Amino acid sequence: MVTSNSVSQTGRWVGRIEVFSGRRNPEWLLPAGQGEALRAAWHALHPAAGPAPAPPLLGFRGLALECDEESWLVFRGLVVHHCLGATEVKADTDGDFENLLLDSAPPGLLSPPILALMHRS
Amino acid sequence: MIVLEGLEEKEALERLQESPNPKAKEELPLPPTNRLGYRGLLVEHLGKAKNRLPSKLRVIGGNGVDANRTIRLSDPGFEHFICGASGPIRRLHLSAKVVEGIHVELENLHVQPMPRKSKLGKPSKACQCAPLYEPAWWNDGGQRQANNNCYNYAANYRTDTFAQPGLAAGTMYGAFTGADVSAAALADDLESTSLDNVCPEQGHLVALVIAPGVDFHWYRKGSDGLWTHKPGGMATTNLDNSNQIITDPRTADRGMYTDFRQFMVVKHGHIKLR
Repeated sequence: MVTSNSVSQTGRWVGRIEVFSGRRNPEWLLPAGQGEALRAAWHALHPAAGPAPAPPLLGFRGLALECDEESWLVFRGLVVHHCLGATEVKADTDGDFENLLLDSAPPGLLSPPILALMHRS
Repeated sequence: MIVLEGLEEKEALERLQESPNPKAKEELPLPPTNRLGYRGLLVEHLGKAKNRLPSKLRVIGGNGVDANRTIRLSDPGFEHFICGASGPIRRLHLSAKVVEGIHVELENLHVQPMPRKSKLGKPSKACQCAPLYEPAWWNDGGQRQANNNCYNYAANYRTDTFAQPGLAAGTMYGAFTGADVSAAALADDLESTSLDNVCPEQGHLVALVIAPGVDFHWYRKGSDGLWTHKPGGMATTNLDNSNQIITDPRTADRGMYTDFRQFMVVKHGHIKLR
């Protein structure tokens, strides 16, 4: 998994909005316990009915979560989980996983224009 | 099926010749044909066989295979010549996913692209200074890809810093507006131009577009006359947001980068990015 920033560290949970091209994507370290809460939220989701849609090349490409070899990408109500070559797609119908991930961002990091871009997609 | 004719056929035949390298005479194992996925390119003469080549040849992993043996080709990048972004494969109108799959397979087979020969290439004379579209070099899936953005790629200038217009000159843009980012790029010694999607005599053409208030993005015009770009830390691509080849960034699907600002010229060795 390619990351666009540099805060990723072993054992740390990193959240990121994949949206920009010229500037760095907004990225943050999750507070203690939030990563495991998100993992639990992931386990509570049901498998998706179909494959995940391909995000666009430019613009909002999803909300990413990473921890060591694992990564999740939330895009258009689906969560794609990658771990050691295996991929699983689940439906985040009520947005629980997405909202939990957004709530883990430090206040002010996700400015209204960024959130608007997310919701417009 | 793709039919190669004229100069394209001539170049293909040259590339398919047995390598003059002495190592070419060493015996190579026959590659397996019973694998799933990409199994090579089948090359067949429609008329009389030319240049002492077998009438039918399978090219895979940079080598040619006929009924009896494996031949080292003078161009081990022959498959890229056919399947590259500006190669004849475009005429098949395959989906981007299929083409990308082939490129992945070629990478796994360690097939390296080689430049088209200028005497036979499509680009106009003025585009000869423009960079080649070599996605494999930028798309390493690691640090090079992650830490070089659209500005690095458009300028063909690797910094591993996610370069920002004006930063090297100490006058970084202050807002995500065309005026600000353009002025910052000029400070980096990119040049304004009145060229209208035409390659300059020196250097190459780039294009600046803006997502008002939130970000900027750059494209570059390649030696084949087509435009490519690198969305942030993602892979470089020759497609727009509608998966179309980009002939003009003004008309390409640019998603949120709705404001086309201008074309600029990058003169090689003149600019400084950070």
